[in-house]
Amino acid sequence: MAGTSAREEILGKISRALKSEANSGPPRPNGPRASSDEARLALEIRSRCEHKRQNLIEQFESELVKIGVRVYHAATTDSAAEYIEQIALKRVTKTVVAADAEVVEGIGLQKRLDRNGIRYVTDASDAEFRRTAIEAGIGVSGVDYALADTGTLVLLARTGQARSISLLPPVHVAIVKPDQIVSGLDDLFQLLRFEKGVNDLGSAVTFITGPSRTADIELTLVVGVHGPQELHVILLKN
Amino acid sequence: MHVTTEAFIRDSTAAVQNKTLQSRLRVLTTFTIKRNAAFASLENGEALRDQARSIKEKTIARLDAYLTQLEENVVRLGGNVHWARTGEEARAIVLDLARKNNVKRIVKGKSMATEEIELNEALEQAGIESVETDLGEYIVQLAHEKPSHILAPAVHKSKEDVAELFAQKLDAPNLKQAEEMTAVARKRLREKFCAADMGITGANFGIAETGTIVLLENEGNIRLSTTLPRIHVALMGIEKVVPTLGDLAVFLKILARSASGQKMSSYVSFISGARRAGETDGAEEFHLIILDNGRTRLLADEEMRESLYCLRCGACLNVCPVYQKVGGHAYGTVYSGPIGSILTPAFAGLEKSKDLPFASTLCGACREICPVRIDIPRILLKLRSEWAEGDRAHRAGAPLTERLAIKLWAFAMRRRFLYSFAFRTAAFLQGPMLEDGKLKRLPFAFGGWTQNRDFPALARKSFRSMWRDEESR
Repeated sequence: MAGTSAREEILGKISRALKSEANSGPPRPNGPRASSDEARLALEIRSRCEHKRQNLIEQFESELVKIGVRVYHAATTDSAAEYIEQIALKRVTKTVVAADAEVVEGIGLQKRLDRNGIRYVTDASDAEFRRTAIEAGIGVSGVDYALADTGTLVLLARTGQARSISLLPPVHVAIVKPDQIVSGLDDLFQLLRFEKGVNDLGSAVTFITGPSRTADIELTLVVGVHGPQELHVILLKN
Repeated sequence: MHVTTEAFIRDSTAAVQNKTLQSRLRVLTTFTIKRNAAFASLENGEALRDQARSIKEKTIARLDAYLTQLEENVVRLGGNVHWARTGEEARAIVLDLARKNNVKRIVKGKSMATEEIELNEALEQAGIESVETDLGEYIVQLAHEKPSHILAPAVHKSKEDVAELFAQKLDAPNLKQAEEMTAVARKRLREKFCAADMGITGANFGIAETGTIVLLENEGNIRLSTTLPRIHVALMGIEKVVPTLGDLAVFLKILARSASGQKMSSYVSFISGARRAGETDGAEEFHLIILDNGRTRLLADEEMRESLYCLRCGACLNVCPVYQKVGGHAYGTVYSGPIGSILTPAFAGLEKSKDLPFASTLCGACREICPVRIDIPRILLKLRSEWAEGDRAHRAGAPLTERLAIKLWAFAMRRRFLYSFAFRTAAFLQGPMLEDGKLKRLPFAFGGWTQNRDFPALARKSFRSMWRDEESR
């Protein structure tokens, strides 16, 4: 097969160029780390973030505002649902697609939307979920982590948390719990190592930092080019 | 790689005289201002750049091992890995995948590697629709042009140019604002995304330890290209692999800052294999094509090797006094600016691109701003000397008279009396050739030196003799 010989030839050229042995085994630059170390590091990060929780929330919010994200502090879960209901009514939305996640279900959004005759759809409830997501006016998701220093939402793809929710509708509302906020990338990757494992990060990890944007025409900033035009973050109370 | 770099002198001269282009190119400084502000917001920006460089050094030094680790992990997660020695092989792999899967429509994310191998042209010839979905790339594709900037492909076009283009090609007349044009493109391209059978992207990074391809973007078109079509193909140069998640963190902190002055690009996608059972979106098939296409040649040359550290951020273009005046198209290749003047000779051959290493003032602004501190001026000088020396196979090298004159000069330079005698003689003989106290036309093979500028006249009295007089006073 041509593919195999291309592989051997490229690897051969590389090892000759580096004057090294080809396939010298998988490199372990830092040596394998024991899983107990991973656990300890993860615990340290969690407690450090807990310690400066209020600072992280403030930093996260100020970064979000800088990049055009609307932030809403929900005093109660019901006010979170009300906030989304208001967006839906204002935009005359017919359909809302939502993640099949506890944090979304927990705010009782479906009841409020039903009352207004707005469809509430999750991928568990709809076999044609993708088609629905294309037509939907709002996508509501939770997040898995949030980064304070850049205002970034981190979403891990899985059954129930379809990637389309935060991508296809013109409005994305993300519900964030305070204990999901960590300082930044270094914390995140360390936590992912322990809580998810490097062996399988899942089909997609998505970082979302602000609404979809472009500046391809005369460097004029335009939001909502392919992804959502509006990004709302609802911060729940712990 | 198809290049028109032979025409660099002609095209760059035309570019300098093109008023519209000149006014567009003035926006480039905005990138640099934003970039500097973004780096200023980092406590340890300079240290991060050093760290990024050392990760690249370490990775490239064991590139074979990291690539096989990446391959192993991609395959373990249900993906497929292909290796392509040349652009032609990479195109054949994509065409084969398209045929096997009965692919009629393709959506593409912005990728310099796919531009490099001219994938769109090959797909078109095979009767497969391949649509660029990054707004800038979409504009450039509609206009049948090439991207003129690594990061901002349509930076050479004015709003009015785009309005005219959309009126002609998309039947969308009377667009005035960038917002309206963007909305038109969104609608058109959304239809393409929904109908596409295959999404093709590049890869900013490949993480060896996790088997993950990492993609940075602002628009969401790459997310759509990797989420909606049933097949995702990613084309990645061999140099894009990084060992660990921790290493990636360093690059994520500097790449968006360097490219667009953002702390983080709007979207970063980590794709590990195909969609898992039970998931409703994401490609059902994932293919990674690992591309050489001249990169192992750069690797084998220790003086050129560091050009493989390039992250394709485009910062060196924005600060280059030559790029700022001639724009990207004059370079006649997809990789323009200072870094392009190094990469193009490696990919297309120095004989086709001999003018590029000379299209630099060697001011060092590119080295200064490069997030991984590639010493571009040093490599440009190396390429110049390679060209001047010539090689029997391809390159004529510098004209014989020029080479002889340089040899003579070097000979005299090392013998002080001969040197000062030659200078005094020349200063005396230059008299009839002076115009306004300058040499405006040098004779013989040296004519090129005075084609666009004057050569200063030799001083009547040398610095050494002035110094002597000063001391004896």
